[in-house]
This record gives sequence, C-alpha cells and structure tokens, in this order.
Amino acid sequence: MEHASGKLIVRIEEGVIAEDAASHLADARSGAVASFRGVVRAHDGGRDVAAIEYECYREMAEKEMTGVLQDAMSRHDLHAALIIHRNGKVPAGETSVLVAVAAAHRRPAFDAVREIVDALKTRVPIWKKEHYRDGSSDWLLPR
Amino acid sequence: MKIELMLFAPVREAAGTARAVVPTHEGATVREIATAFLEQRGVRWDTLPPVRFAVNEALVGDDHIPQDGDRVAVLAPFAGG
Repeated sequence: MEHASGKLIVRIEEGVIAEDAASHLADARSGAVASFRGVVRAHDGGRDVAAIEYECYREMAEKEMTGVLQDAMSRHDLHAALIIHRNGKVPAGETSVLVAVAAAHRRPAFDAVREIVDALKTRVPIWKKEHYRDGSSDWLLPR
Repeated sequence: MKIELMLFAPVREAAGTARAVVPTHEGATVREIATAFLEQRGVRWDTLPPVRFAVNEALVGDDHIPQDGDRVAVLAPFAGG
C-alpha cells in the first residue's frame, strides 16, 4: 500500500518471519533503517514459557496496523514502514512481531519504531495466550 | 433483524463459539445483544476481562445500536506484540 509519503506494508503471518523480511525497505534515499523484533520470552513471572498462541481479529487488525503506520508517516519523515505480526502458536525464542521503518535520518527512524510498537499494543485487536512448560496456559491481559 | 456476533480469545473460550448469527430487536445496543447471547450460554460479564465493542471493524460505544447485517465484535483488552 502507498501512503502519500511512502510505502506501507502490513502482514499477519502464520509462519516464521524471515530474518531478511525488512531488508527491502532500504533504498538509496534512506540513510536509516530501524527495526524492532519482539521475541517470545522463555520465562514470564517466574514461569517457564513454551510458546505464546496469538489470536487476532484479522480484518480489523490489518486496518488498525495500517492506521498505526499512517499515523507514524504523518508525524515523521518516513520513506517506508512495515509491521509483520505472527498469528497462531509461536515457540519461545521465535519472533512474534517485526516493526521496521526507513527514513532519511536516524532520529525519525528510531522515534517512529518506538511509537509504532507502543501503538500496536494498544490499538490492534490481537490477543495472546501463554503456554507453560508444565502444560497449563493463561490469557495475558495488558498490565 | 440479525447481526453477526464475533467472539475472540477469552470471550470466545468462555462462550464456546467464535461466531453466531443472532436475532435482535430494533433498538438493542451492542452490550445488550452480547449480554443476552452470553447469558444463554451461562457466561457472566464478571467472569470476563473488561470488553469493548466494534461494529464492522470500527470501535463503538457500549450503547451503539447496530443495523441489520452488522458484524458486532466483543473485544477483550488487546495484547499484541
């Protein structure tokens, strides 16, 4: 999708997010590509986590992720911005979300990534259930 | 009139279903529709996290009155990332 000021990419994926998923954001105009990878932690509150199972309202999640990127583009001078979020069960140690942006300079790139990650957690209808090594599981609600 | 009720995550688990076509009466709010549906299934709000509602993929207030054919989603607090 094209925004007035650059390219937006939003994906919800059932499979592994490729290591080079953000590599194509870079071009000769962009002096900075900044990214954030959220990784499923193997421990939470003293419990051993085997996996996190994500569930989303896909149509609304894609719309809201696009809105989050459009807002970031409006506030910062970005050439491109990307969110890829996993759906389904993600084992500990794997990437659950990738956010990346390309900009002319590092400051708007860093600022935009932080804002996108924060907005993602509050605006996008995605839920997660932690599965523990002892076989139990719990829905995680925001703290 | 009928709406499509969409349930996710802890609300889906408590209700035992993700989707239902629900007959409603004119003037019923999204919360009233969801309350009636969940009560039929023995689910009370006080056993669930606080929820919000969306109609056709846009957030609405609890007192929003949906139209025939709308998709009404019951949304527990988001926890992506």
